[in-house]
Amino acid sequence: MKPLLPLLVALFLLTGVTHGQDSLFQSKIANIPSKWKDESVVILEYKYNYTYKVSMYSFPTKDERVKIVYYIKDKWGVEEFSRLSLPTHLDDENAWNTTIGTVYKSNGTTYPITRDMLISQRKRIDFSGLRRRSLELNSDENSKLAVPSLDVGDILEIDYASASSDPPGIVYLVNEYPMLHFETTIQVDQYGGTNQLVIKPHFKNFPDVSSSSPQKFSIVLDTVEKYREEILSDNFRRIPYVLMRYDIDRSYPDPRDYSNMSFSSNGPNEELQLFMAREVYLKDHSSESTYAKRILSSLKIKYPKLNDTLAYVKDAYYLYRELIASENLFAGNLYRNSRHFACTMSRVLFQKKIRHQIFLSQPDFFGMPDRYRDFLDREYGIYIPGHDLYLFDPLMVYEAGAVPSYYEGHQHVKFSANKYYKRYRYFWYLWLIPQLGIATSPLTLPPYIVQAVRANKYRKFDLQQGSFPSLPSPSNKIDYEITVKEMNPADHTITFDQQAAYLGKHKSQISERVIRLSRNLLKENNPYRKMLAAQAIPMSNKKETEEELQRIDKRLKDLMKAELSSDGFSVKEVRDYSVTQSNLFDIAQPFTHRFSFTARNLVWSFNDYMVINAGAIIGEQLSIPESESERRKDFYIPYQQQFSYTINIPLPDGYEPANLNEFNTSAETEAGLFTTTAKQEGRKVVIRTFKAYKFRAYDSEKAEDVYQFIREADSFYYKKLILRKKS
Amino acid sequence: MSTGVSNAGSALPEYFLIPRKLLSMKFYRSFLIGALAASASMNVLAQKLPNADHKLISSKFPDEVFFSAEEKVTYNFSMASKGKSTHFQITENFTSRQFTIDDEYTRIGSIIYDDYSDIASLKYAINGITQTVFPVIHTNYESEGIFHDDLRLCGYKIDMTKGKNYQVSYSKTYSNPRMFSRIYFHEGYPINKKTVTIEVPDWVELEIMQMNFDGFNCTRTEKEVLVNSKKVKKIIFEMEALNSSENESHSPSHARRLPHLLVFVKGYKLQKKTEKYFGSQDDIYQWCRALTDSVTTDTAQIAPIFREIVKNEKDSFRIMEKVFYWVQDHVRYIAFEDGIMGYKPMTADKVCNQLYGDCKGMANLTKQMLKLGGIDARLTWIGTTDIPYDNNLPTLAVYNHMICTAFLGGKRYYLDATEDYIGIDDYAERIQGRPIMIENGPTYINDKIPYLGYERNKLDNTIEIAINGNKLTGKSTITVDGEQKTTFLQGFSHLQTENQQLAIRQYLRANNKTLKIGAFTTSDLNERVKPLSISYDYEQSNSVYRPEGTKDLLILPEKDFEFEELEFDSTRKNDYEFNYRYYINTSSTLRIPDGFKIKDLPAPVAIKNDNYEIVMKYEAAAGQIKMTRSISMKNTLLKKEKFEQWNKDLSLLKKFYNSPLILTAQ
Repeated sequence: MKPLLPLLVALFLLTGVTHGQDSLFQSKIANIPSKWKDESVVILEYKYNYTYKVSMYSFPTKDERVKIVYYIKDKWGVEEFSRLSLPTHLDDENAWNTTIGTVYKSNGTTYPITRDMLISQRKRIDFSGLRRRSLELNSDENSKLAVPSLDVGDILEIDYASASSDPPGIVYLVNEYPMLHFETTIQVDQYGGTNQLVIKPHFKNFPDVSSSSPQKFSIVLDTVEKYREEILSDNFRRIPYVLMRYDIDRSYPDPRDYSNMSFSSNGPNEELQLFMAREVYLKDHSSESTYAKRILSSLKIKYPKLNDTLAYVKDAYYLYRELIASENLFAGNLYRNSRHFACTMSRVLFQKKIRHQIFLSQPDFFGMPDRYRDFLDREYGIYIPGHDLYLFDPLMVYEAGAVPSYYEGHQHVKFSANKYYKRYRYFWYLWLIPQLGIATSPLTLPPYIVQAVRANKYRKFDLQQGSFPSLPSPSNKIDYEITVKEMNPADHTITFDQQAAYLGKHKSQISERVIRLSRNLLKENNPYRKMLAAQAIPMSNKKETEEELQRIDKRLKDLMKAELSSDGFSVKEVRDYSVTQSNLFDIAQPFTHRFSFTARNLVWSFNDYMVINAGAIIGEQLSIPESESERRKDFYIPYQQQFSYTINIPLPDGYEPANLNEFNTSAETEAGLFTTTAKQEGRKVVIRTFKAYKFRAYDSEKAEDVYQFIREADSFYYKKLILRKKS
Repeated sequence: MSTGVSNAGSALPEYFLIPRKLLSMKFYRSFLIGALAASASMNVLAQKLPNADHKLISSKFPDEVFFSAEEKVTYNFSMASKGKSTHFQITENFTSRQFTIDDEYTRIGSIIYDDYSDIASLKYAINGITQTVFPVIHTNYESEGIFHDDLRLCGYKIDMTKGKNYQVSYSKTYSNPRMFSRIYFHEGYPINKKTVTIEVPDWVELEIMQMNFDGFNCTRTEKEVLVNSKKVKKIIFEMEALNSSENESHSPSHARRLPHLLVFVKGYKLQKKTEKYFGSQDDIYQWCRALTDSVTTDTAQIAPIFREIVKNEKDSFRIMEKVFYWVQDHVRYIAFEDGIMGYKPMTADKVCNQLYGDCKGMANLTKQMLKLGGIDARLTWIGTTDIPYDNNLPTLAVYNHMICTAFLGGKRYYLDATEDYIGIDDYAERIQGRPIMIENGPTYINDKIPYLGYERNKLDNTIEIAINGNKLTGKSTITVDGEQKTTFLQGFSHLQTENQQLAIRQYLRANNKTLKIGAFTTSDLNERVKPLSISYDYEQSNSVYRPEGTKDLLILPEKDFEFEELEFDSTRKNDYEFNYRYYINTSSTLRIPDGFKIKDLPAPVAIKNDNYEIVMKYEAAAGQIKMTRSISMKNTLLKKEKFEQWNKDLSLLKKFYNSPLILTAQ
């Protein structure tokens, strides 16, 4: 036997790479719950470790280690992982090991996944992120590897380490595949004691965990369901994740050079961020006066005395809006517009001794309750306490007092600028540190500044928390009145006259779209243009030529056609579009427009009957996908809203309605409602429908409340009105 | 009109979405043409156009906001030096004078190049003043799911404002004249005037063939000039009012619809240096053959797998079947256009080991495995239906695909293993009727793939319908074959397991939301040869109406509405190309409820022309109404001039679909 042992050892060594799916994997596979039997891929193990090290004498290092073990269960999974995509640049030999992972075949063999399998290295061109004219463009890297010889039943282990990745920012606790086991560890190994890792777990139905120390966070989860798309939901609000950010380090941003800012760079902690944001504001405030002077001057005649503060504030707001619109102030400039707005308005209000505050907030685009990006992502605005009026940058909204949907109900911070607007003494400290290359770790200067401000009795640290209002559904509504102008059963078309009145967010959306196509709308009946013109400020008063007007008219009709098409109409033609009331300067009044359109496949006559697809006139309704038999995520929509329709269908000579009762339906729950009524009024049929979403967020456990009225509206869409010829 | 919280903006016309659209890869693909067609020399263009010209030009293209006022591309031929050696080179000089009528417009331009071409001197000027800062990026080009290893994209951005003239220019050099085969005129934007000039020195042998020039006003002039005391023939093509080449859905390929030049660079003779490129099909074959012959397969590596596939099978036809289906099932298609690898197959053993490859690799593996089985199998070059050229043209543009031809029992079998779920002696629509070049040692064989009848794609649908309260309930069986079957099976096999049942329901529902699909059964979803069949129950709402004050019952039994939405309006610019030819037969029976009789039935429809045949009728039978329907689309291409007739015929079709059957109580 003796001679055999070395041979066996040698054989083992030689075939060391062919141990295949070892017992560890087999036991994991055996533990896959039966409810995942139809999954294409199951993650047996997901490990993510991130370590951040700060040294006094060297640059910070960021070590990232990712290990994911995929179990491929069907042909789709084979296809998916045969073209493995990694969101990084594998060409950098210094940053990547040659071996990125291993394939464990079901037949017992293994082979490595290496950088040699790299097929495509692609940059996604993203010119939109370009902040300054440069040959260097922002781009995402994407590496694609062709993984050979995969088959159903194989296990693919991705295991790589990177020494120079960006901070992760967000670590998601769900995946597009279900995970049998998930664990992550994030830690900061730091020099000194002031830098701090801030970790915020946000999730529902997950254990309530917190970091074990300010420098370390870890979480372990088992049997994690995969992420799934569902209607009426907001991914970032409903996907559990861990948010992390760093305290300030030596590469913290220069607050003055905005163009150099990278949104993925490390930002200071929240309090320091707010403080820096205020310093930047105050710095700008001290220098920005040109536009304020113009506004003050333009309002002199109308307001010899300030007897209506609210009217003055709104006029000042609209004048500012007119200034930037007519002079194209920010064309091609991606600086923080809202800061300019807030500085200018504050100067105007300060001069008129109108009490106000500056608010700072971050848009809720991603539904994140906390932000991880830097302070320059914050938007500035003006709050008038006496009138509870929020004034947002007019590039975001069109009306004084309108709150963008992505700010509704969202938290903000206010500070007063009245007394201390000229003092921004700490700005230069903040600016000097990176300029001089001073390492912050031993000095911890920025935190010191915050502490100094806190201790300074003459400079009140007056940052106050608050939240923007959230509006009920009647505030965001569309009222449609649609009248059948002509029915042509021979070619199955109906021509309609449509009027629609938009309020709230719907008004903002439609007016923005229309204004984008026709700047004329902003010029017509605009008192603020005249006020500015009276001050001899050069204005562009060029009128559209006939050709331009025709082009605009066509675009507006195309816009309506596109909207109708997205609602399921087969549109033949849109005619006579006109904006009847723009009300761009009055938040309480609607934007209204009217037009005619002809749509196909709506009416049929046969024998004594005429069949009208009357339900379809309200447009295609949201339907519940078959895949959503079991709701998982909570519901979320950007804002509450409602829609009403009044549909007038004149009866053709000799015809009477024969099934009006089918058009009287109702479904009402705590979440919303859809009701319809139909009756004959003289020689016409009038159908009225009303749909309201009475929630912004709604619990998934009460899904039927939402589904009920959604289903009713969806079903209504397919109803046909039968007209019968009187004998 | 907004009715919910759905994203109504998603269907906006293209110019509402310009920035997003310009960033999409599809956009760049359309610029592949641009890269090959580019034009001009900066100094010959006027520095500034008056705005009146902007107005005049823009009025010719009413739906556009970005234009080229004039575009010039000049191609010349030279010997370029590299170190001590010289090589033949083609240089393309492109200049385009552009403007926008929007107040602000972001122009994202792109140029495609590869291992055999390069971009130089890319610059732009505003009103004649060259700009020093110009955002440009070079990156790999990638099409949907297909890897192009050597294609590169040069992207640039220009922020434009109304009233100014912008001039973009660059030079592109081609180092391999064999890869230089086509010049297009159109771009992804409208061009007021385009001039393509080819300067052919007398030492270069070159021919040009004009393709798709009918219907386009293009002038060709030739003149001889002396350049450095050498004769140069200038061939100048001028074309005006070129619409954007942007694809509409279901449009024929660019090569089939856009005017372009096929350029045959046959060779050159300069002093003592002579070189031959492609002068005949034989040259093409010899070049392709040299590449395929240089690929040596280690058959020892594929032999064990071959034996595992065929086991003890002795019958050659069965061996061919087994190998062909194994390659289809196990080798994933991943395309490579890696320079010469765009024409040279990967070795069969490598494809076999890594289980992926492009068409050439899959054809080569099929060939090598069949040879192991004693079958005469050969590589075969083919241009799919996107390619309009005949085999005998001396250009690589003729071929964009490779298959394997097996010679067995006196018959040729054309095996395209990239086509999943296709049976032996069955051919996908995209290769049917196409000319092919089969390897044959020092010579080659010209042949054609059989053109199968539209009946190949038969869909039979039998339905039994009953009235159940205010709904219809039905039992249906569909049987599909040909392209209908392979399309279904290919789509189905690439679905996640958890979505497969749902996908079948959606397929059966055919986007009709009033249908609720109940239980269903399918035939073997791995079967290639026999037709696929699915039997299912369904319930149809909003299909039975009982008008008040009458004894009548109105029934709307139609559920599939084939082609109902396919109506063409004046905005359609191109011919319409169906995915494949259709042959749909539906036979339904509706049981008349007790106590009711037929009051009226829709009139029959009978349409017959060269492109399609439609026959539909209802008939009364004992206690039943029988509906038979047959739709045959005999060609994939519906020409634009036939749209009006199609719309008229469609109206009859729609009336038949939507008219109720009227029963009345006895």
